[in-house]
Amino acid sequence: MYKTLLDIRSTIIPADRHVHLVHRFALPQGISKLVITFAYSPKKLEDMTRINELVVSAVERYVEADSRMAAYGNPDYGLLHNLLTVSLDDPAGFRGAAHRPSPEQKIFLAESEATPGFLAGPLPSGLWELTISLHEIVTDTCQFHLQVQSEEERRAGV
Amino acid sequence: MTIDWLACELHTHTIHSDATHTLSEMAEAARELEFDWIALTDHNTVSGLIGKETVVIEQGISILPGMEWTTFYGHMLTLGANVQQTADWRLIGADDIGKGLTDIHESGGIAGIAHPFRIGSPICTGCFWEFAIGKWQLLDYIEVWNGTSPNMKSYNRRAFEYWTELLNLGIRITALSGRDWHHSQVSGETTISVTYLGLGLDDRASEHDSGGTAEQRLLKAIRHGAASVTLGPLLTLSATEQLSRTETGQTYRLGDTAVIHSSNGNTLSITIEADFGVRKRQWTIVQQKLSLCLVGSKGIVAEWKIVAGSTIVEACLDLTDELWLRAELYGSMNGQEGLLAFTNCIYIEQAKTTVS
Ligand SMILES: [Zn+2]
Ligand SMILES: [Zn+2]
Repeated sequence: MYKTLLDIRSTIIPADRHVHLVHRFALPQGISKLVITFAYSPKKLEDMTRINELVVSAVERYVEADSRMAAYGNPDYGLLHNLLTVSLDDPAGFRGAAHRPSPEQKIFLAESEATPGFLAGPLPSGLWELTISLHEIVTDTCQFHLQVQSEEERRAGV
Repeated sequence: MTIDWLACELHTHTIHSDATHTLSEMAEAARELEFDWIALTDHNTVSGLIGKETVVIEQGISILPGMEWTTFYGHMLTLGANVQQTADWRLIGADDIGKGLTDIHESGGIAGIAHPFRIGSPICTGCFWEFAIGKWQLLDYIEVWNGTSPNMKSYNRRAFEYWTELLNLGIRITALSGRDWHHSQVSGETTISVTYLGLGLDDRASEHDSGGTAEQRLLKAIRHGAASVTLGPLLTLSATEQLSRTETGQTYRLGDTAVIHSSNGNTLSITIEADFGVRKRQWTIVQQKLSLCLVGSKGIVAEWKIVAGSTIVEACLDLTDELWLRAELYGSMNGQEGLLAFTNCIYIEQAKTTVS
């Protein structure tokens, strides 16, 4: 039986970049598994005019004058994405992070196993924190959906 | 008095962040590349280190724990156990890196700037270093060679020049390389750099290396600057006090500070060694005239044309007003012409004139 502990949908905009959204929630006792479902969209910036503007300003800001011509033409530079990452803390401290580009993530933690990036182990009751770090927002708006669910320990004979 | 030079790869990722290989797969590939140590520096997590001991035994390679602080204002590599416990990148703002570095040091770790001039947001989020640095002494190193074929990347050339500028300002900081390893497939055209870290084999060997675990000794070697970076041959540099024609004094090695007593007529005799026998199966430099340089704060001090084979050069040179010395090797490898190897520095201090 899964119980939903939080279910949040939100819209963010480029002005929100470099913000950490901390979601502090209470985990009850007797939980054997925690499941985090996180998705955001869009991932990719498609607007060519905007891409060009952003590439030009990044090259001007970060590349020395004599290397700029090569940088403008770098095909990899035209692939601009939103990047939101989740990290998790239990009442005692760090429990993991998913620093990866995928815009759709299903993360679980249990006593003996966890999704790569996260630390398996007991799931103590108390205040936990789920942080969404807004590394980059290049699209005019971006929607995310965050859900945290818990599964109770199965008791013998029940 | 010998130094054991350990081949290290100090910047790697696994499936625990955004890479495609597991720690075990990467360790196997690293062992085949004849590395002695790899540091696991996943983005913002340490979960990839679970099961590390098994991987160490199965793959026969040592693994240093670490993490890449992948922040909004820069990427910073941390090395050393349990750094995550006391230092949290999410609580460090653009002006607070000194606090972050203090937290890392308190947890027994060290830290270095990763790829300081790689293009930044939104092309590569947080990749360009934008933290304000108050105290350079808090930083232990700077990754001047990032990625494969690092000598060909303009952002690395800029980092190397920046390192030189810092040294000329009197800031003593170690320069290292890191592959930023994300997958185990290797292609033939790319060159892979190695950072050699020097550990003294007896207690007189080196002023910095005074015991501790292998891990602690590696961290100390980095902090001290007992490090040499290369695409192939291992370059080392030493300086021996020349007290008279026949009498020699102390020998200084990479990272040491050599004091010149010029008022007594003392000079330094410099030895550069290029060892072409290391990790021999992993790289080739076709026969050519290579340029071996002794570089100091005032520019090139001396240059030797050498053939592609193990070489030792020695010279007694005028080192007046030099702040530091390092060796650099130039030539062509895989058809790419450039810097092939460089050492860290021996720092130079002129002794105050003594009144006799
Ligand atoms: Zn990085
Ligand atoms: Zn990296």
